[in-house]
Amino acid sequence: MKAAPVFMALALCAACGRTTTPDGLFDLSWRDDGGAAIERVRQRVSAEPVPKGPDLAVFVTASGLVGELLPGGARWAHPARARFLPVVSGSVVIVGADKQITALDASTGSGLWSIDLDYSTLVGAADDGKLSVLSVLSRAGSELLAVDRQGDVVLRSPSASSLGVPAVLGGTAFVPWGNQFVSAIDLESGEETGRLLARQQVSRAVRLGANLYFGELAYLRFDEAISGASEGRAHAFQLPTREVPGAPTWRPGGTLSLGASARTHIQAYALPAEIHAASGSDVERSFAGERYATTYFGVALGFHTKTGKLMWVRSFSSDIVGGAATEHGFVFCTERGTVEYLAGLDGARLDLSAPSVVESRRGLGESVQACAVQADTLKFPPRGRAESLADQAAEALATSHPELAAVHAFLLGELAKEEDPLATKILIDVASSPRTAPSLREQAAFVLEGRRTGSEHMLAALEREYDFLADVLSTPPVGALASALMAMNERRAAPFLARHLNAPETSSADLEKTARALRTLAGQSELSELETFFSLYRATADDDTLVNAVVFVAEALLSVGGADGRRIVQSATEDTLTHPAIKEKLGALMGKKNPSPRT
Amino acid sequence: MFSLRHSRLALAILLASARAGAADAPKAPQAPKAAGAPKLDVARLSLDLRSGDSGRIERALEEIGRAGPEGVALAQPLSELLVRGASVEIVRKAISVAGGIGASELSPALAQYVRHRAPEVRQLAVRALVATGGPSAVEALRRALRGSDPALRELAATGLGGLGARQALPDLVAALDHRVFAAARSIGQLCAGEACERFLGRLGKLPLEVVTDGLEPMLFRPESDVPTALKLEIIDRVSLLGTEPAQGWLKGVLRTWPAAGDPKVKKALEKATDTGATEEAPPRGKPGAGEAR
Repeated sequence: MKAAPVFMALALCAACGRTTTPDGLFDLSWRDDGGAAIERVRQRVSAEPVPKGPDLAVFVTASGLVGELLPGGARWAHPARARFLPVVSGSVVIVGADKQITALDASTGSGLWSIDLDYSTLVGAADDGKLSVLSVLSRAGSELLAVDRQGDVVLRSPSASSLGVPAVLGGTAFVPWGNQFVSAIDLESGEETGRLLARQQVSRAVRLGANLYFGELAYLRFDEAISGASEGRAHAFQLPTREVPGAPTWRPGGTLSLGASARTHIQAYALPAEIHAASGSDVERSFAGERYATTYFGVALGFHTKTGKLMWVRSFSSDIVGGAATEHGFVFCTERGTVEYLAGLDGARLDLSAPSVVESRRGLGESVQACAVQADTLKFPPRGRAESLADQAAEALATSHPELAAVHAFLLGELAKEEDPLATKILIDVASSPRTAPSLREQAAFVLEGRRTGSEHMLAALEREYDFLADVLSTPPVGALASALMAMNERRAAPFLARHLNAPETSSADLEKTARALRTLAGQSELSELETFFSLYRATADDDTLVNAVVFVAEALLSVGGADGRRIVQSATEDTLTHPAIKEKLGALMGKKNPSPRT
Repeated sequence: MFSLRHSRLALAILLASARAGAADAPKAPQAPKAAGAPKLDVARLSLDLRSGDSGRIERALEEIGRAGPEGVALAQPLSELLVRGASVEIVRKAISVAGGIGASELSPALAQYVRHRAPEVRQLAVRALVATGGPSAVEALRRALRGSDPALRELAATGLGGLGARQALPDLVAALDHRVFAAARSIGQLCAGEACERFLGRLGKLPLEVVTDGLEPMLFRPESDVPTALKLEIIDRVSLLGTEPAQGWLKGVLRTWPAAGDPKVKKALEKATDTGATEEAPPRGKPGAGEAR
């Protein structure tokens, strides 16, 4: 490994590094050639082999780096104390440490080269099998460096404009800069051989699969259409816009400072791909499996890339701190130092059973700060179907951790869109559980009111009454269920609702909704409970909800109580003991035409 | 935690307040009535209770409350008032008066108030039902034992023993398992055979004062209910604990032992507390064996 101070290298060895003048690279005085030069670059480098490397996860821990070959293969360790998320690029791992940048052999963790460098930020790095390119921020500003396998800095170029995350292929570095340009730089000559002007933000050049992409929010593929980038005709890949917990961004490649740890827990993952359109004959630009994933601490969410619909959700026992999208799914590494594999289509957990995998399932035995993953060739084995989204959501909702409140609220909103009756059961469970945070219980009850499927689950829940001796210490969300079942005209709910009407455990808010539902659903079998409620509270109702409940029950008595029901309500209307507010409403009720008794 | 001492006090208050009627009303005179005391004007009071006028109703309730059990003649209109419902003040008085009358025909009307949303109304209703009794009372108290109101559970547990509700024994055992300690005394009042022996098995597993609260009524029950052999075993096992509280309890039982009580039990108590026994009674089944400790 060479570790030469920069100024000495420059002064003593012209062959070790070359500083390009500001008039050369990253010069704004450039005339758009309509993409001709960049197209030539593309044709030349397309013949170059794509740098291959192992499928690998690199964990950053307090004691250094741990690399694990995937799936569940050998591990290596290196003592480098990374300040930035390591970059895995083909056969090389590039690590930014304090005043030093190091490259390791991805398969073994052994050192390839190391340079001493006074820099503040490692923006990005890449390797093509022979040369590594680095984009850094230092006191001098942005700089691009190229380092060979001997550790010699063969190119060094400062830039007045900020440089983005570079890529390298076949001895050509692709460097985004100025937020709109990508320069192709021949690393041997140090000259710019082509440039593209993107009509969108571009700060990253990254290899995903077999292709290069340039972009920031949307990514332009480096293909035959790239020459039309300045006119907006390049092939672009962009994830749909939708609100997702933590607002993760899709930022493939690059690195990030490990001080901002929360960003490792909130990320988006996707692999651009072409898929066959519904018609079958055409191909369209999309993402592998038409899925992208986002992570939020210990939860991974899978979405459809066209519709943005939530397709699956998985929760893990520790936070997700890195990952990658592959052709068939997603690889995530956790804070515990495990690697998890999920099928892209439905989030099925994949069991890559092998003794070494079992070993890797036990984690590293120390906490992981971050993780970088390369999984270009990883093959997923055949597997069975995953559980339904509702089942997966139930599992995720069962994890009670204050950090996950946002994703739990999100999942409830998504469950509201599911027709599956099981979604109703899950909402009931969340709304009933004393372990659920109050705000989440409230949201679940609100969503439940709007449900129109799963009536059997609703009835089963309503059957449950508080019973101290049977250890039934919570009540179902009676009000929400009453409203939903009323909307479904589900008369089988009436006897259960009537019992809850007279249960002291039923809250005032639920009482009003229950009474309102009974106004519609009650039959003669509920008369006794209706009469009890009416007599207990027609003179003692002390708040608006109870007043309204009494009046709803009066309406029910008039509907199904026959002559006796009318007599009870009439007497109450005339009785001085009846609460004045109730008396007034009963008077108005009796003044209207009586509803026809239901048979 | 609900203290056993409080539980015994609660039972005393429960029964006293139920028999005495409304809390503010003077205690009901005991039968037989003194000659010349004004009789209740049943017809007038019935009209008052049915009047719908809060003033008339309250005055009528006060008058009936003063009569105590003599008010049974007004059970029907009082029951109607309770079924019809009224203001909280009237309902509270009506429930107390019903408890003071203590007639079982009032129980169905009282039972619905055990489910009232106001805790104090529920508790008044339970107290009254202990006095009125009957199947409706037992059912209402059994339901209260399962409810979410801890104070009501304790009152109901105590009351079921007072009602002699043997059919509630499984609920009371379950309640004791759920640390409704007031159930212990009722179990002691109601158990028979194996159920009593199983209760004795809780000695050493529950606080002593909880278990002895149930063992005490067992000792005083007739032999047809609780055999002497079991009573002797109770004394023996408590004695074997060898603690001061255990000894204190045994002495307390001995002090209140009735003159006409089972002499064998008395002798066992004396022996266990080393008081008054001048000759050693042979241990059960083993003549000549030494004193067990």
